[in-house]
Order: sequence, then structure tokens, then C-alpha cells
Amino acid sequence: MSTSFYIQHQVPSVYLKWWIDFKKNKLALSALVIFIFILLVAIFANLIAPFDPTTQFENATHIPPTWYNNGDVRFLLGTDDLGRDLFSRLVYGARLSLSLASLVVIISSIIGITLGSLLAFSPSWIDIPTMRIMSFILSLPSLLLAIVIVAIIGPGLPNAIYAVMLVLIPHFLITTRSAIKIELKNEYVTAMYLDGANKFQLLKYSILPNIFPSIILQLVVAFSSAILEIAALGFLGLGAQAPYPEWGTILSESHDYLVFAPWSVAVPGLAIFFTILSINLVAEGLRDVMNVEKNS
Amino acid sequence: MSLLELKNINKNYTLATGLFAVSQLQANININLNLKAGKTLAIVGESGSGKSTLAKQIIGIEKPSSGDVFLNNKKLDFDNSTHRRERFKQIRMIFQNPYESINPQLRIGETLEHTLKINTRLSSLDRIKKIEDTLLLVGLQKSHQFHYAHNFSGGQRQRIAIARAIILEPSIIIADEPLSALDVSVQAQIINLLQSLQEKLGISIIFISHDLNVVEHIADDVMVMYQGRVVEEGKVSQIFDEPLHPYTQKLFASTPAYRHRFQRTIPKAPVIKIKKESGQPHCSYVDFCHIREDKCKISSPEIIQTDQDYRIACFKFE
Amino acid sequence: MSLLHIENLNVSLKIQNNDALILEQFSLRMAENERLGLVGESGSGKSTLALAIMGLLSNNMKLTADYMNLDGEDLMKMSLEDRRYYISTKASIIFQDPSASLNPCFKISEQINEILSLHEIRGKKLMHQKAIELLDAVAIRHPENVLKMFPYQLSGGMNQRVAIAISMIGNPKLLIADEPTTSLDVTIQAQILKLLFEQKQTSQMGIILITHDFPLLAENTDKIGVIYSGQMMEHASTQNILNHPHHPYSKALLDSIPQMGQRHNKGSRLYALSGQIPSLENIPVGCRLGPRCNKAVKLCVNPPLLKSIENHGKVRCHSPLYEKKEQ
Repeated sequence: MSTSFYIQHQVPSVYLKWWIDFKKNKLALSALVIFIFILLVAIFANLIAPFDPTTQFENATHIPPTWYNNGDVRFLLGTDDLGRDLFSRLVYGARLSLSLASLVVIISSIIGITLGSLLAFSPSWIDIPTMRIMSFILSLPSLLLAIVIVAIIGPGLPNAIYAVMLVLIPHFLITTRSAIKIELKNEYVTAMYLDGANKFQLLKYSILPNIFPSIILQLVVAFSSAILEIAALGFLGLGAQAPYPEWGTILSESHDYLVFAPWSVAVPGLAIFFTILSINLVAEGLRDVMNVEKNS
Repeated sequence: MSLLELKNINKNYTLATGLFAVSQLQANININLNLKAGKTLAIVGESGSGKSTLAKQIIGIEKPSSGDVFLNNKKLDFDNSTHRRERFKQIRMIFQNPYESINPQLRIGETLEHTLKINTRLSSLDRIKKIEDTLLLVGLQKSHQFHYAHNFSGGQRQRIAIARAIILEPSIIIADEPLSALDVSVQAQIINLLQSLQEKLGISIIFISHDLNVVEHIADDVMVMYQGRVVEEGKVSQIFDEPLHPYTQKLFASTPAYRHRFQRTIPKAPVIKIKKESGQPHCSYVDFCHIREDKCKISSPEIIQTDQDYRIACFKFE
Repeated sequence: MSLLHIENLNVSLKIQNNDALILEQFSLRMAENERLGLVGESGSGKSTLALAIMGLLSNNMKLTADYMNLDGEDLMKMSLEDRRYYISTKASIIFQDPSASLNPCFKISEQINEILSLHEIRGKKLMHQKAIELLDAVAIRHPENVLKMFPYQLSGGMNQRVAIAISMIGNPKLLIADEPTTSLDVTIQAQILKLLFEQKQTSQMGIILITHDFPLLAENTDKIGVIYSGQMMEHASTQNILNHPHHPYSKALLDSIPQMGQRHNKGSRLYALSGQIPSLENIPVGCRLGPRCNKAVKLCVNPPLLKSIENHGKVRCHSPLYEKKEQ
């Protein structure tokens, strides 16, 4: 940006500037709107869903969505093999998936970022071996790793969550560590050190504000992969079990009926697809406005 | 009386040359320096001559391998935190690249305020007053404190860097190639600013540069470095009118503006390569020197004082 | 006959749906065997000019010109492919950073051979012999060894020598050197420049030396063009510009360099233009130097034209300096 000859009294803060730039990216903005919509659906699931997700209507199994000739007005997106309303299951599923993913991301980010910061300041005999191990873990596909962990500690929703958490921690750790390492080499950090700042002040004023973009981005990306992996484990029968309205579980329950009740597969599949897509587009938009390339 | 004194500063870096092999790089060898209050000392040399390393030893980013630094005749202990605090307050640095030395995520006012917060006990109102005064002093406006670094051009950024340096009212400023990232017409603005600040505030400046024009204009004393050693040191008039060391002569002969002043062309000496691994001491400039003797190949000349303010490291002048 | 003749060259870059002119109404005439220096600050468009002449502009830039004559042929009348081939036989360019213009993945010999084969020199033995001749000509000792090395094994000065050697392969009529010595040490700079002009002597070519360093041009060029914000501000012989700069910008540039013998005096100041070079988004109305010029008058809101001044050269200014003296 260039300076004008006139005094600007209002200079937008860095964060406001990000938002101004983000708004210009129409694709990312609409993705954000979709994501907020999904989020609202998840929060107000009990108001939106007409039925309890586990209520079974025994004489109304495999009813197609309303707009089909043999559809039922009560069941907007039809019912599954046990006569449960798909729409309600989907809405409650959103709540379940998003809250589980948030939980996973919050815990793994706290652990990962803390360890990553410690690692960045630790001597090389700790740093280098740890990084080698982390690189090895990152080289494995994360889903495969999660499956291995679940296979060891046993299937079930809590174990699936532990597994996904464990898989995500190295990502946070490496992002934080390398962002700090790069940041430490910057001249403005040296300049602040020459101001007499101690390590804590350096971290607070110089390093954290500058690695913030990388971490935000990593949070968003981790959120989308957490949703996807929890769903995948659910689909494979290793995560959430039968009555839970978890998207992956719904998908696996209905894929036997793919031929004569295709909607029951398409609906949860599309829900996962749009959620992941919107989050990833938001991440892409954030990456552009925050110029993260220069940090990572 | 000298403000800053360096005695026999040596700095070695250990380089890993192989899996287990290490070699020593001598970046600074036996450097003595004497800076008087209110004066400008220029350090001249090519890249790799150790001038930036020397700046790091003076300011206290790195600990010298051996040797002492005295500020106001008081020996500075590198590991002593009170000493360090005092040193960072008294000796301030202006970096080469203003695009990298200012935190992009903070407003200029915040950057300057942190500096004040850490080092002074001013109240927040006094701090704002001080920041505004300093910005005006370096030719910026009060309202610039609310801007971010990316709102400024290179020249303005260098002014901010200067503001940051002088805000603590230091006695010494080290400027490491402060002009090389700037446009020609902006360079003159910054030179003028440095000079007027020096006159107003009585600051001593250590000016590191490879630009001889600028050095002649701004410096009182000049120190020429080559491969980690000081080869010649003296008043600007001495060095620029009658450089004696063959390397200094070569430096002038290579600079377009000065070539005419040294009408006598330097005779070309055949370049010889001496095996460096042999461990044999030798003059570091012997490979290219046009007045070399056999002595230069087997021993290294010490820097000697031949005059009140003049020192040279060459066997010819012993 | 002129070697290079450009009339009204415009190069524009699209910035947020606006065409920003990097070079505007740029005209230049250069005689055969001439040493022309182009001086300007960063962002003045001097490197863009070099790329425009070489046909190396990136795709987001648009080039228009009335006339662009290189050694007797109008480049604007040629098809893209013809133009590229024609330029490669007539002109070559050396960049600022030699380690960036040489490919780090290939040995020096492979890089030289590639260009040799473009110029129809084939056969292993012949190529090797020619490569050694080339490196010899740029005063590289032990050319056999250097041929086997990769660019990162050589110093900056050596890499620049290799780049010069490569640029000499097609016996170009025009050599453009874009800040060839900026990234090098002073003593190496002197060697490279000397070498460059020796090459010019032996192969009778015109040379354009692009730089921001006035003293460097003083002793090496016949003519100097001063570029500011994409326009030629003054174009005259080196002696005329150094002794009687007619454009306020040329004068400011010269005055802002500390003069030889100017020592540390209390209160002495350099002449400095205020402000900085305008960015492409806000180019001032009228004369582009207007807001920074201390000689600016009302007339300067109208864009000045590049006018000839007798016994001097061409100047783009409404009220050139020294004008009264000449009348």
C-alpha cells in the first residue's frame, strides 16, 4: 500500500484489514455464510429438528423425501430402514459432529501449541529427534494412523476422539515450532531483544502476533480434518456406534440400501461434503488475506 | 576520553565442515576500537570483512570469543543482566533493511511504546508525549504512530528505525549499512537526518558502509577492515587523502568517484595462492598485494600506531 | 544509422482493473557502438525497459509502441516467434544477480553448451573448445575446471563472468547490462566493468548499462538517460549531464551524492529531494516529478514533452535549468 499525501486518521487494525480483504473474496465469503448456517443449525438443533433422532416410526420405513410421489410431508428428507426421520438425524448429527470436532481441535491445539513453543526454544538435542519422530508420524496418512490407534485401544466414540486428537497434535506442534523458528530469525525480533525485552515479552509482542495467522489457519484446517476423520471412523464402525446420529454412522447404516433408497446415503454424504468444502474454502480465503505463505 | 573502547576483540565461529570435522572461522581478529563522544566512526570493508560481526560484538548480541568492551571506561560483562540492560539502552542499532526490522503486526506507536515501557518508568502520558516528540524529530508526523509499517515507504521506515534508536536517548548509534536498501534520492534525506540528529543530540555514530562517498561525507574517523582485521585506521582526511595500506588503495582505485584522485595506477601484482591449511601465518592481503615481500608470506603484520590518530597493519610502514 | 530506435513505447500493467503505465511515451535512440547509461531509482521502470527490448515481459504486461527498431528491423512488425528469434541473434542481457540467472542444477559447461547449440554450434569437441575460448575471453583462469563446476561453487564475481561469457555467444550487436555489479563487492565491481567494456571493444557492440549509480556512469558511458517514474527525463551526452544537468531531477540526483572531498562539517547538508518516487497507483497529474520538485510552477500541472535543447540533448521539463544561459 502506498502512503497518500494526506494524513489518514483511521488506519484499520491488522485484523480489520484481514476482514476487509476477506470480504472481497466472494467465494470464501459465501463459504463462510454456509458454514455459519451449518453452525446455527447445530446450535439450535433441538428447535429445528421435528423429531427426536432416535424415534422410530415402525410403519414408515424407507420413505423417500417429501418431493417424491410417495413421500411423506412429515419427513422432509425421508426416513431410514428403522423409520427414523433423516432430517432430524442430520440436524442432530451436525450438532454432534461439530461439537466433537471442536472438542478435539481445542484440546489437541492446546497440547500441540504448548509443546511446539517449548520445542522451538529447546536445545537441538531435544528438538531434532522430536522433529524426526513428528515427521515420521506426519508421513503416515492421518486416517490410517487413527484406525491403528483405535484398533489398539478398541472401538467406540471416546476412543475415536482420543485417536483423532493424537493424530492432530503433531500438526499443531510442527506448525507452531516452525513458525516460531522462522519468526526468531526476523530482524524485528532482534530489534526487540535489543530494546531489552525478556523472553516472555518477545513471545508476547513480537512472536505471537506474527505466528497468529499460521495458527488460525492450522485451527481451521484441523477442524475440517477432525470432522472428516470422526465421520470416517464412524463409517468404518470404529467410532460412534449405532443409535448415535453421527454423520459417518448414518452413512454406514444406510449404504446397504444404496440401490433402493439412494437418498438415505446421499443426504448425510452431502452434509459432510458441504461442511468440509465450506470450511476449506474459508481456510483458503484466510490464507490469501493473511499471507501465510511467507511464514510456512 | 573515550566513550566506547574495544580491546583485543576476537570472534571465532565454529563451522561444521563434515560429519565430525569442525573448522574455525575467524570473523574478528584482535580488534581495538576507540570511539569519542559526538564523533562518527565509519567502518569500511567488503562483504565478509567482519564489519557486521564487529557490530554484533559491540552491541552485545553475541559474546566475543575473547577481549573486552568498555563503555564510559566501565567494563561490560556480557552475561551480567544489569550491564546488558544499560548497554542496550546506551548503544542502539539501526539495521540495514527497514523492511525487516519493524514488526509488521504492531502499530508504530506500539513498537515505540514497548521500547519505552521496557526501559523507562515514564507514565503513559509521558510516553505518548515522548513518542510524538521523537517522531517529529525524525521528520515524521504525530499521527504516524497509528500506522503500520506497511503504510510507509523505505525511507520513512528507516526514519522509524532511527526514531526507535534515539527514543531512549542513547550515547551511541550503530548504523549497519542503513542506506543500502534505499533509493539514491532518499539516501541523502537519511544522511542529512543522521547528521542533524548528531548535532542536536550529541550522539556518537558507528557507521558501517561500503560506500566511500558517503563515508567521506559523514565520518570523522575511518577504520578499514579486511578479512576480519583492521588494516588501516585514522582520521578521514588521512585515509581519504593519503591511504597507505595497499588494500585501502585498491579500494579507492576500484571506486569510480575516487579513481581520478589516485592518478598513479596501482601496479598489478600477479595473484598468488598460498595454501591456507598449512597453518603458516601470513598477511591476509598477501595474495593480491602489489608491494608484498617475502616476509608477508611467513608472518602476519600487527597493527601499529605510527601517529597520534593513525594505525596501520603493514610491514612496509613499521 | 541507429542500432536501437524506440518511439513512444508504452508498457502497462493491470492493477485492479486499471492499466498502470510502467513506461510512458518512452523514446530512445542509440547509435551503433554507443555506450548508453540509464540511471533511475527503483520503481522507475528501467528494468522493465530492458525486458521490453528483449521481449521478456511477463504476460500481465501490455506493450505498445509506434516503432521499435533494432539493428534495422522493426520489431513491432514481426510475429512473436520471429521477433524472439531475431532478438536472440541481435541482443543479449546480463542481470543483476548472476547466481539467479544461471541454473543451479546444471554444470557451467552444460549451460554454455545449451546456448551454443541454439547458435548452431554443434559437436562435442567444437563446443568444448568454444566454451574454453569464451571463458578465456572473460579472464577466467583454469577454464577446464570451471566448466565442470556448478554455479553455487563459484563466487558472485565468477558467476557474473560466466554470465557475460554466455551473453557473448551470439556476437550480439546490443548488450543490456541491468545493474551488473550491484550485488558485488567494490573491488570485484571494478573488474567486471572493465571486463564488460573490454568485450565491447573487441566485439564492436552497443551497450546499455542500467544502474542507479551516477559515478559509475560518469567514466564508462557516452550518453546518459535519466529515467523517473517511467519517463525519460533527460537524455544527453555524459559530459553535458554531469556538468550542466538541465532537468531538476538529474541535478537532484547528482547533488544528493556526497561530493568527493566533502568532509564532515557541522551544519553542512546534502541536497535531498523530499518524498519518494510515486507508486503506480497514484501517479501525479502533469509532470511526474511535480510534487517533489522545488522548481515546480503552475505550468507543471500539464505533462511536459521531451524537447530537444540545442547543444545539450533532450529534456522533459517546462523550465529546464541553465536555459537562460544558452539564449
